[in-house]
Amino acid sequence: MKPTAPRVAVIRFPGLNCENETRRAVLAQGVDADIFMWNGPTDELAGYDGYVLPGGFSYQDRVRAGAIAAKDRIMDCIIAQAAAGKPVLGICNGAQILIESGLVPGLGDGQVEMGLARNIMPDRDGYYSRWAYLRVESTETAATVGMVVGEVVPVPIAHAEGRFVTSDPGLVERLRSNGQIAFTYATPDGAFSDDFPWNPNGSTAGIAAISNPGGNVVAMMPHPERCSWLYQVPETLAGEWGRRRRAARGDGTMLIAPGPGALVLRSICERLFAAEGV
Amino acid sequence: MVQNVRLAVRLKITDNEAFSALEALHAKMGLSGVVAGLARETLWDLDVEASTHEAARARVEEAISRTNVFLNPNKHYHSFAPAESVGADLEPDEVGVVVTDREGADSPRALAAVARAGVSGIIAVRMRTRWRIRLTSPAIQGHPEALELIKRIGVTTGRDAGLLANPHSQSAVAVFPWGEQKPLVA
Repeated sequence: MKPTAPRVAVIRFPGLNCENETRRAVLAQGVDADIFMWNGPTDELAGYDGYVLPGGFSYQDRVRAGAIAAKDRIMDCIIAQAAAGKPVLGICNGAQILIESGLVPGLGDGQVEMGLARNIMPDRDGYYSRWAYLRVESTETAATVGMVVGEVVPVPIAHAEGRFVTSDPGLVERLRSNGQIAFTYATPDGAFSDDFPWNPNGSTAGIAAISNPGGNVVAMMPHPERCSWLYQVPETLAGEWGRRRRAARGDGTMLIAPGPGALVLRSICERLFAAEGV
Repeated sequence: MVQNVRLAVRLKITDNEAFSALEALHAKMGLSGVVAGLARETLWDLDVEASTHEAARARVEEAISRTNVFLNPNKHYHSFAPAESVGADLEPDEVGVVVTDREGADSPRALAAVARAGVSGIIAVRMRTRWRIRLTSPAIQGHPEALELIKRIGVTTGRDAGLLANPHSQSAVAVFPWGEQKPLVA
C-alpha cells in the first residue's frame, strides 16, 4: 500500500495573519497541510506529523509578542509532540510563542531562557520589514537539512520584536557548540556582520533562528513562506538568488520554481518524509 | 536645569490588553483565586529643561496637545504621577509591577515628534508600563508571601510561571502603595 503523505498542522491563534500563505507554501512541499484552530481538539492535533506556528500578531501582541499564546493549552499538546520528536517550526510570531513557552532553546527543562526584544536600530524604532540574508550556521536543525554551512538564504523579515536576547551569559556559546543556531544574519556574500542593516534588529550574535537541542523544533524570525517561489524574489536582490530571479524574467516556468524559503520548508518536510517512509 | 516629569496614561475605554492579561492569569495560569483585577498604565518619564517643575509640566502639556505620541485625548486619561515614587498613587489594595525594556525604553521617535511639533526643552523620553494588580486578599502590607506571589504573576520564568515581564529583555519592580519598591528582575 502506498504510504500517505505526512500531515502538517498550521496553527491559527487569534490574531495571526500568515496561516493561509504558510499552508500554501507547506503544501507545495508535497505534504498535506491543514489550518488548525488554537482551541481545536488536542487529541486530533496529536495525530499530525508536524506543526507550523505561523506569523502574525497572536492576541494582538498584548503584553508581549507571543506571551499569551504561549500559555494556551494547545501548547501542552505541541510540547508533548515535540518531545516525541515531531518537527515544529515557529515563524516570526510563531517563533516568539516558542521562545515564550520555553520550548526553544530548551536547555533548561521548560524554563524561558531567552526573549525576543524590541528591535534596536539606528535612528528608528518599531516595526521593520526588509529582505535579510541568512547564513546557515548548523545543518543539525530541522530547518537546515541538506544545506551547507555558510550558504546564504535570503528571506524577508517583518517584525518589531525580533531581537534574540538572553540574560544568561553562557547561553549563546552553548547554543553554538550544540549546533542549535540554525541561521544568523549576514551580508549578501555570507560574511557575519553585526552592523545595521545586515543585522536588522540588533539580535545577539546575529541570531535569526535557533532550535531545541534535538533540532526538531526551530524558531525563526524571518518568513520563509514569503519567498517560497522564485517570483516572490525581487530582481534587485543581491547575490545568487537575485541573479536567478533576473534570469527568470518573463519565463513563467522558471518563475514558479522554488524560492529560497522553500529550502527551509522542504527541509522541515524531509524529516516528515523520512519518518513516514514516503 | 533638568526636571523629571512623570506622565501616567490610562485608557478611558476598556483596556483589552489588561483584560487579556487578566484572562491569561485566571484561565491559563490558575491564578483566578489570587488576582481580582488588573489595570495598565503607560508611564512616560520626560527630562525637561525648565526652571521649575511647573514650567516643565507646562512643556509636557504643550507636547501632549501638539502631538499624539503620548496619548490620544479622545481615549486616554493622563495625570502627572509623583516623581519620587511610582507606587505612591496606588490604591491601598493594589500592588504595582513596573516593567521596563532594558534596551529600547528610550523613544527617539517620540522625541523626534516632539521636536517636529516645535516643543522645545524636552531632551529625553523613556517609556515604561505599570501594571496595577488588585489581589483578592488586600492584606498585602508586610505579608511575607506577597513578593513571591507578585513574582509568580510578574516574571516569566517558565510557561506556567509569570506573564508581565520577560526577565531576559525587561526589568521589573514591584511597587507598593506605602512607597516600598522591590526589584523582581534586575
